Amino acid sequence: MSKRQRYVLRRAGAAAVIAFVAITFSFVLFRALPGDAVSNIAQSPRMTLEIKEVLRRNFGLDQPLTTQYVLYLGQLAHGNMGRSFQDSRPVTEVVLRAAANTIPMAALGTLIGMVVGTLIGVTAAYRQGSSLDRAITGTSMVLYALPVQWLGLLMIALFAGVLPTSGMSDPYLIDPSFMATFQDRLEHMLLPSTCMALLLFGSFALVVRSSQLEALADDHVLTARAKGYRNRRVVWREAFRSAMLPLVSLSTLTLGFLIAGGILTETVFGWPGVGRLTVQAVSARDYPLLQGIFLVITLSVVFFNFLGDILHAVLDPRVTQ
Amino acid sequence: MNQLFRRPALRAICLLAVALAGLLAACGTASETKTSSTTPSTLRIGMQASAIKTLNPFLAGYSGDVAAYNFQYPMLTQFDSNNTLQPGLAKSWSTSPDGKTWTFNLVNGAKWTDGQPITAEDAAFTINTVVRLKDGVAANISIYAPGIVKAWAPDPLTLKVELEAPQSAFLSNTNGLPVLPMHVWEPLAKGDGNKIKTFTGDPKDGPVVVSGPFVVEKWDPNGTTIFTRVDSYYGPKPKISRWGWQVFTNSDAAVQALTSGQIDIVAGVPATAVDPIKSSANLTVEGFGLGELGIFMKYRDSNHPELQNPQVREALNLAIDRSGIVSSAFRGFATAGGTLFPPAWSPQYLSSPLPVPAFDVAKANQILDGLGYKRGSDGVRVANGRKMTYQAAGLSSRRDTYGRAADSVKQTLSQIGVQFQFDWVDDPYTAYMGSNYDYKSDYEAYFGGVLLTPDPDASLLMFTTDQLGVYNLWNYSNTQLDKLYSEQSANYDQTSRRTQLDEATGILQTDQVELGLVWQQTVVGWDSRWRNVSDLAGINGWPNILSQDGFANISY
Repeated sequence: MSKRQRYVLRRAGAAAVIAFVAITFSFVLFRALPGDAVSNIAQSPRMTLEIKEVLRRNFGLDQPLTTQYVLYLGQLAHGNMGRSFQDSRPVTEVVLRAAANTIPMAALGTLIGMVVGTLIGVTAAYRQGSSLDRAITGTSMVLYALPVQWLGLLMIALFAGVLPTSGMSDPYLIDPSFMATFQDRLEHMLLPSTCMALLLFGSFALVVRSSQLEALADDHVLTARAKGYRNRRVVWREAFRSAMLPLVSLSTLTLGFLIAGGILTETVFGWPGVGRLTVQAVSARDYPLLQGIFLVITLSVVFFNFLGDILHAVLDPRVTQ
Repeated sequence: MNQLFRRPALRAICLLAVALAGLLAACGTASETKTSSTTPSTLRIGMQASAIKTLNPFLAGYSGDVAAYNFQYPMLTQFDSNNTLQPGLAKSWSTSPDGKTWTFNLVNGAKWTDGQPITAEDAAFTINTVVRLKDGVAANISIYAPGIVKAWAPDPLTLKVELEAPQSAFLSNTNGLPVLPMHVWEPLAKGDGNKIKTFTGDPKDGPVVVSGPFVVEKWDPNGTTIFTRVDSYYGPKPKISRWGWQVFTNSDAAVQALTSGQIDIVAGVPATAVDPIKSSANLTVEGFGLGELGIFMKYRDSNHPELQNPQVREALNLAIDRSGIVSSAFRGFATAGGTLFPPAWSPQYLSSPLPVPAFDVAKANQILDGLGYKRGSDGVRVANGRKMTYQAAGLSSRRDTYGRAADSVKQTLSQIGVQFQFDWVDDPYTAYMGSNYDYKSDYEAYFGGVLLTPDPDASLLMFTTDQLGVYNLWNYSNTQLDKLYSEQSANYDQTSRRTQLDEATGILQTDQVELGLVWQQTVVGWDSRWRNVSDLAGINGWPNILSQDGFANISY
C-alpha cells in the first residue's frame, strides 16, 4: 500500500470516529437542555399530570437515557432517523425537504462569496499598500464583523417593495409556468443569498490576501519574475497555487456547513431551510429532529473535510510523508 | 503590467456585479409589472406565529395546527367575537336534570365533501375514539374531552354525551374537539389506533373529507398553507374563496410585506413594530383579544417565605405602573390589569370586574416599612435574613415587547427596595418550575402570558392543588378554593355559580396571589379595503380559532 493510500485510509477512519462521537455528543447535548417536548405542549389550561405522563411515554421520554441511546443507535443502523415529535413525520423526509430548500440558496451565496472573495483577495495582495488594498481590507473586515441579523434587517428595509423579503416563493401563484416559478424562486433567493455572500466575502478576501502575500514573497515566485514570466502567470500559476492550501481548508469547511444554511439568515428572511428548522426543533425540544439535523450537518462537514484532506495531499505531496 | 493583471480578474468581478445588478433590476421591474395572481376574493394573511405543522387533529400541538382543523371540520358549538356561545353543527343543546348527560340537536342536511351525510354517529364516533385512545394516540386532543364517559346517537340528528360529573364549562372545555367523518377514520382507529398517525390530511395524498367552511388546498409545514372555500358547508358561506396562513419569522418583514402590498393582513406583530402601518393612509391597525401578561410569583418558596405574606404581595402589586407599561411596552394595545379574570367576564360570570391595583409607591413602602423589612446599604430590603431580590424567567422570543414591561417593573419595584432580575430563556416555564416540575429552581417568578378561554373554569383550575406541577404557576394551594372550584365546575345555575366564582376570586384577591400586569391584545394591521376583519377576533386574539364563521362577512 502506498503512503498516499495509507493516508487516505487513516483520514477515512478518523472521519468515521468523528461522526460517531458527534452522534453521541448530540444525543447527550440536546437532552441536557431544560425541558422536553412535553413541557411546551403541557402549557395548556386543561393539561393534567396523567396526560403529561402519557405524552412522555408516547415520545419514549419515560425510558432511561441509556435505553433511548441504544434504541436510537439501532434505528440509525437501519437508516431510520425516527419521527419528529412535532408532527410524527419521518425525520429523514423533514430534513431532506429542508435541505432541498437550503442548498440552492446557500450554494448561490457561498459560491458568489467564495469566488468574489478570492478574486478580491488576490487583487488586494498584488496591490499591497495601495489605497485599493486598504479599501478592500477595510471593507472585508467590516463585512466579516457585521452581525448577520443586522445586515439582513438592513437589506429588508432597503429592498422592501422591490424584492420579496420573506419566504421562498409566492404562495399565491396560480398554475405558474416553469419560467414564472424559476423567476419567483430567484427573486426570493436573491436577498438571503446576497446576505450570505457578503458575509463570506469578507473572510475569504482576508484569508486569500494573507496567504497570497506570503506566497508572493516565496523564492520560487521571485525566480519566476526573474525569468521574465508574465504577471498573470506569476500571480496565478506560481503564487496562487502555493496560496491555495489555506483556501482549500476554508472552502471545504464552508461547503461542509453549507447544508446548515445559516440559522440567522434563514430566520431573518423566513427561508424554510435547515437553519430555520433547527431553531424550531430546539424550541420544541424535538430530539429526533435535532439529532437528524445534527447528523446530516456532521456528515456533511466530515465529508468535505475528508475531501479537503485528499485535496491537500494532491496539492502538497509533503502531507503524505 | 498592472493593466495586464487587472483585466482578467477585475473584469470577471465587474461582469459579475453588472449581471447581479441587472438581475436585481430585472426582478424589481418584473415585480412591479407582474400581474398579480391574487384576486380580491383571496385573503392573504401574514402571521408572526408558527407554521401549520400538521393537519392531523390527533397530532395538533400548536395554535396553528388547531386553527387548521378548526376551519376544516365541523364543531358542535363556537364562540364569536363577543365571546358569546353560538351554534355550530349543533343548532341547540340541553342537559339532563342531574347535569351528567348533554343532548345536542344537529343541523339537518349537512354533508361531508364526499357527499356523505354528517350524522350524530360521526360525532359520537369521534368522542368515543378520543376517550378510548386518550392514553395513547389521542393524548394530545384528549384535553378537549375532559370527564366524558361516552357518547351515542339515538338518531342521526341527536347526539348524547354522558359525563362523569356535571360540568358547567363543558361547552367551553370541548370547544376544540372536531367532528370527524366516521367512514374515513374508523379504519384508522381500530385497535390501538396507531394508524391514526399515518393520516396526513395533505391534499397531495388525495382528497380530504371535511365539512368546515374551508379545506386545505396547499399545505407547507414550513411556510404557507392555503385554504379554499367549501361550497357545501352547512353554515354561512364565506365571501372569500381562498385565504392563506403565511408565516413570517420576523416582524419587520411581516410589516414590510403589508405596506408593500404583498399581503392583506398582518397579525401577531409586536406593538412596537406597527409605526409603518399607522403612518399609511391605506392601512388600518387595531388590537383584539385579551391575552394575560403577568408575573407569576411563587406563593411558597423556601428561600423567600415573605412571598406567602399577602401584605408583601400587595406591596409588590402597588409598585407596578400598569398604565405606564400599557403605553411604553404596548403602545396602547393593552389594558391595565392582567389578572386571569378579565372585566369581560362580568356580569356573566363575576358580579363585578376585579379591581385593578393602583400604582402607589408610597403606600407600598409604608407596608414594607410596617413589616420591618429594612433597606440595606444597596437600597434593597432584607426580609427574614435574605435580600428581597427575585429572579424572573421570561421568554427570549418576546423580549422585544416584554423586555420593556420588565424594565418598567424593575424600575418601579426598585423604588420600594425590591430588586427584580429578568433572564430571557427559550423555555421559561421549565426554568421556573424546575426540571422535576417541583418548583425547585433558581427563579422566584415566571414572566409571561396565558391565553384566556371563554369560560373562567380553566382560569380558576390553574390555582387548584390538582394543578401543582402542571399549570399552577404559583405553587399555591388552598383547600377552600379547591372546594369552590369543584362546586362551580358542576353548577349549571348561573346565579349561584357566579356567587361561587365571586367567592373564589375573593380568596385569590385576599391572598394577593396574582401580580397581573396587562391584558395584551393581538395587534392586527390590514389593507383598509377589506371589511369586517374584526369579525374574526375573539377572546384569544386574532384569528379566533374558537369560531368557524368569523370569515363569513370578510370581503373586499
